[in-house]
Amino acid sequence: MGQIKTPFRFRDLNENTLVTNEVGDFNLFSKDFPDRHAHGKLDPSEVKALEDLSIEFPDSQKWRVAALKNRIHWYQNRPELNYLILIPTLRCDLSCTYCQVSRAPVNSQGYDWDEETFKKVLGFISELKSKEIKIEFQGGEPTLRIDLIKRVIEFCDQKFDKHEYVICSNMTTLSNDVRELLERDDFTISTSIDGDNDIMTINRTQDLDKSKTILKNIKEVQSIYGQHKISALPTITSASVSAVKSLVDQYIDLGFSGVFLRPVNYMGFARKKHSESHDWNPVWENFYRESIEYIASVNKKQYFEEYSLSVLLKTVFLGSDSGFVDHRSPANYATDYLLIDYDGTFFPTDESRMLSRIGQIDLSIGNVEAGIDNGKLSAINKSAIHQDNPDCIHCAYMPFCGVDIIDDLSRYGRIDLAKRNTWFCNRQKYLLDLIFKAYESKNTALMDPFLMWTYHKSAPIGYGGLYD
Amino acid sequence: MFTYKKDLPLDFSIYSSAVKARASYLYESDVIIENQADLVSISVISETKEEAASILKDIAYLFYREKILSETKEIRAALWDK
Repeated sequence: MGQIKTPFRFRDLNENTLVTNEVGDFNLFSKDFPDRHAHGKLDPSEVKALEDLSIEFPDSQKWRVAALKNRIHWYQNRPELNYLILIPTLRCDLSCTYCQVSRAPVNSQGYDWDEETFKKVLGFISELKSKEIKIEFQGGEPTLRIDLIKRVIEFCDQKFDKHEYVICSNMTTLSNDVRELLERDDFTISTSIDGDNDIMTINRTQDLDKSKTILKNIKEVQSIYGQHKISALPTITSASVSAVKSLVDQYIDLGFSGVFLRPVNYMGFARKKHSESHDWNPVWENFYRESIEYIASVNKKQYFEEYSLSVLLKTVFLGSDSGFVDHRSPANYATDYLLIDYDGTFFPTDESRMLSRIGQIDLSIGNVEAGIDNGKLSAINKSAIHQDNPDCIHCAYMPFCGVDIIDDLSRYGRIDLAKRNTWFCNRQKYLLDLIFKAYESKNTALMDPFLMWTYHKSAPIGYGGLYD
Repeated sequence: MFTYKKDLPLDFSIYSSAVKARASYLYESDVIIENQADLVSISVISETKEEAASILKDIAYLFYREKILSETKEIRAALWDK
């Protein structure tokens, strides 16, 4: 009887070697497994474990190949374009130190959709085949053009069976127009809270009173319209890196059920004013580890998750697809998701418009006038795949990871560096090591909250078969 | 300077050129890979014992990984419809 072999990858953890198959099923083996496997000296329990992972099995079990193939197809099957990021204006009334979109001053001219562009945006939306739409209005400060936003919403309400709208606002004001939109079930606000008023003033407002107004407006939305109507995320800079507990406590005090610990992106103004963000560094690792341990301790009393880890936990333990373009490979830019800038230009992601704005590279992929530039999009997409990359192809974390050529371009000006040396790869390895080392050591102080975040409730009895 | 050595069976010799190319790209330390009559010899010369041992292990892993991918190349292409 012949043997069928499928690709697998391994990575040394603390006491064990992690083995993953092509689609992310995994198990732990002894530390000398790679040597013994290479020399054909596995014991029967290891042979059985590889069979269970559909890595090496008798050809009488050919069905395992079809099962793997089905899972790859399911993962690759992306919906049609149904998520738009719209930038009605690039103007903003704040000037955050890290402004990743390089916003335009609030009184400047030529940074809003003009009427002609606006009509073409609606024309583009009218051609979409999806029956559902999610629109994220970003800026600049999008509420500066609430008139345009309301017209887009009115149009989409008519065209689509299901619709969802989010405004990413700095919350310096809370206008009657926004209040009116908040009455809708399908409308929410996303905002930024970097820490207490002092940190908000340093990072974002340069004005203590303005920082206080922002917090007052956020609380007002929560109390009048409901906690679920507004979400927030911090941008972590060197100013907030030493204040882990106060940041997390602030989010808890405001009633949020989690926080997305997001380091400042190496984009826009951040490149000059936060140049330390260029490299992956131990300061961030320490901050993150300390934060996760603190958040884990909070979970003994109440549910509170860290979203960047939650996304990976769900991918690892549930095989779910977060939909984030940098968490998938092939990235398949502009299939289900597209950004339309203030001048009608299309970009594959928010970060790609940030990078194009500073003139480092033009990553635009067409515009509302000419449509999507499929030649350019195809060229970008051909590079945004990790399954053929000489580092990723050997990495045990490949099935859980994505590819971020936009970040590579931003930091290094090229996409052909050894992936293992990139910021993106180091962050992914750090987060996935955190998960798998907690799993390996049966560290219940971490695994209890990790599994709560995975399942959105207490972990199943027996950890869903994860532990014996 | 410290030198660490490891031998692999001769059937790994077909991966030597691929591993040499990758090693020269990834490591500044001297990595010598030689296909001999009855084995593949790997030597790593580095400034510290720890670094030499770590690189040697990495090089052995590169051989193992090349072998795994080589043996599963066709089925992988079929899985991804290439």
